[in-house]
Amino acid sequence: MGKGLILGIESSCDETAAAVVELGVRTLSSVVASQIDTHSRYGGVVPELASREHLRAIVPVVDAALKEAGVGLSDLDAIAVTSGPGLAGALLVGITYAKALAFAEDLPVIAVNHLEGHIHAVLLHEHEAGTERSPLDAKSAALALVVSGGHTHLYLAELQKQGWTYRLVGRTLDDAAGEAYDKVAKLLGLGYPGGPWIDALAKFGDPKAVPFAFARIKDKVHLRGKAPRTKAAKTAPIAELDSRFLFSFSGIKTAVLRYVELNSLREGVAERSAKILARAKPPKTHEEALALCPQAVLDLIASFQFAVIGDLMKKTFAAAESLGVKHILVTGGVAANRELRERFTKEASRHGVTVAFPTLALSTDNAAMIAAAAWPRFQAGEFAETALSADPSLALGVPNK
Amino acid sequence: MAAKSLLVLGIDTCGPTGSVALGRLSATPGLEGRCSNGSSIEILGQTELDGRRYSEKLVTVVGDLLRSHGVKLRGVGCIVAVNGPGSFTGVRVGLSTVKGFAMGAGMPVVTISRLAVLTAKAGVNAAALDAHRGEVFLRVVGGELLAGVDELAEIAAPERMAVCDEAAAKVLRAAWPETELVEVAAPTAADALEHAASRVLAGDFVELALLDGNYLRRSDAEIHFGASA
Repeated sequence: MGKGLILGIESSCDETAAAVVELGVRTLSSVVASQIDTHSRYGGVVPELASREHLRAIVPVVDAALKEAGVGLSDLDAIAVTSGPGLAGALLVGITYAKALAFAEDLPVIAVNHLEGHIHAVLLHEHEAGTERSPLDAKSAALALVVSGGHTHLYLAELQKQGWTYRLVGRTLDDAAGEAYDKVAKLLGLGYPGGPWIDALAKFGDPKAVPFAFARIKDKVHLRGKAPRTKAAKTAPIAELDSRFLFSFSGIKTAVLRYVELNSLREGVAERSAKILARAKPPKTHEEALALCPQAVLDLIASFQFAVIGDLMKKTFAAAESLGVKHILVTGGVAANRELRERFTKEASRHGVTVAFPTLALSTDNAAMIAAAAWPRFQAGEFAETALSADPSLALGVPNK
Repeated sequence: MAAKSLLVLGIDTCGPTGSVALGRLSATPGLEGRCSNGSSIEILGQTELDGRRYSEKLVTVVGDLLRSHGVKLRGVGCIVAVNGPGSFTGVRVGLSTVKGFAMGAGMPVVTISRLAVLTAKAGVNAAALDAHRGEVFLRVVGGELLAGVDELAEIAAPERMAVCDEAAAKVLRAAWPETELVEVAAPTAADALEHAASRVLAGDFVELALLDGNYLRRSDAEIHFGASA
């Protein structure tokens, strides 16, 4: 073994990323090439365009990560790559590139689950901030909420002697929370991705103006333990999960649409959309916000965000209490949300638990988290087969998958 | 490299079936010489690949081919990559792999269009490959493009052109009934090595960071959005 340097590569969605992490805990470099400009006009990620951009970006991004870290390919001990879940064509660019580079350098490849990567983004940050736990620590079990444009999952993560183990305890039945943000943003003519826009505008609205409600997910007795045929349920079973920890974000998007129609808030959407595409900077003052949206729309936005975060909070803290877990990790793109961080932090102190977030840069997709998650695997000698390919619906913390 | 020989690795994963080939290129004509510029290429071996398993198999197949000839990747002097047109994913799996090999082992890359290989193979200067949806990837004198019935009606029909699949032949017979179709077997990585040999010797390499797919077709999102290619 050399210096414990792992090159991480991530290409599961719309960011091409590479990073060098030492011994799983020290980030030497983390480079992310975002494709937001490519996809913004479509209001969402276009898989074929994402794949093309990854192919163009992969060499410069890896080059930059090595240069920034001040290491050469021959200094590396392994190459870690996201093998799923994500967009098949996008994942394949990172995977086939990583396999070929590893072959050329005679290095092992470590396949990393993107969701595990997100959890390690918080752990990496805790290590670097000096607040990490040891296996003997009471806080060695944590409840992780992975919440982004593609995922809304709750995991029980436990640090054991052989490394971290995960158990899925909750998930969304349909849209991810970040997906709801994107769809509502698109409906209101706001920029893509929707999160930063909605978060910035929500500050200037009344969060109690529109009372959005989330229905409790009912146990589906008629399914007899089988997963329902919803989009998300296909990728992981939900039958064994406690229905109190299941999310659903497709309803609120429809509720927002209905509210917009009933209150004639459609007006100005096209102009707003054009303005945002031309200028593309979220507002900083109430005047700037009002120049973009009338107060009724600001109130709607604030209410939407208040409701979504409230639902994430309610179920996360209920799961933590039910599992007797005293530490919560919130990670993924939505974990960059200002209001989410504030409210989770307040709620945690009320419950007598702690909550940790990654840095803002580590919240969204990056490769440092992939290299960090690969470290325990490297130590255990868990290397990928040469036939490694993309697994778009790769699950985490589910038996037999 | 005048009097020396050079090992070249060819990779084509653009079509429904792919292949990788290893060749030895000499700057002076030899017994196997088939190139026009005084160079010769000897194909040492070629392996076929199932189009549904490119991402799983490509690196392994290249490794096995090299090993069976006692060659290390660093012993390869140049990669010839067929960069499309064809399956979008196939094109990308091939090129991502080529980028990894080339960045790791530090060898130069020459890219060649699959249509260029097809024309050279048939000894004509026009060719077409099936592009599905009743369209063809077309190469005529002056360039390459994606062509359907409307585009074909606007282009002067060549006298002769190469085809290697029935779907493209059908589109062309309907659009250009006067054109003689020269039917050849689908181009392979070995064909690519032969037809790119002169460019390898001339040092016509592509900048690795700029190496990109020759897709010819835009993504559906762009087509429906009406954006420019």
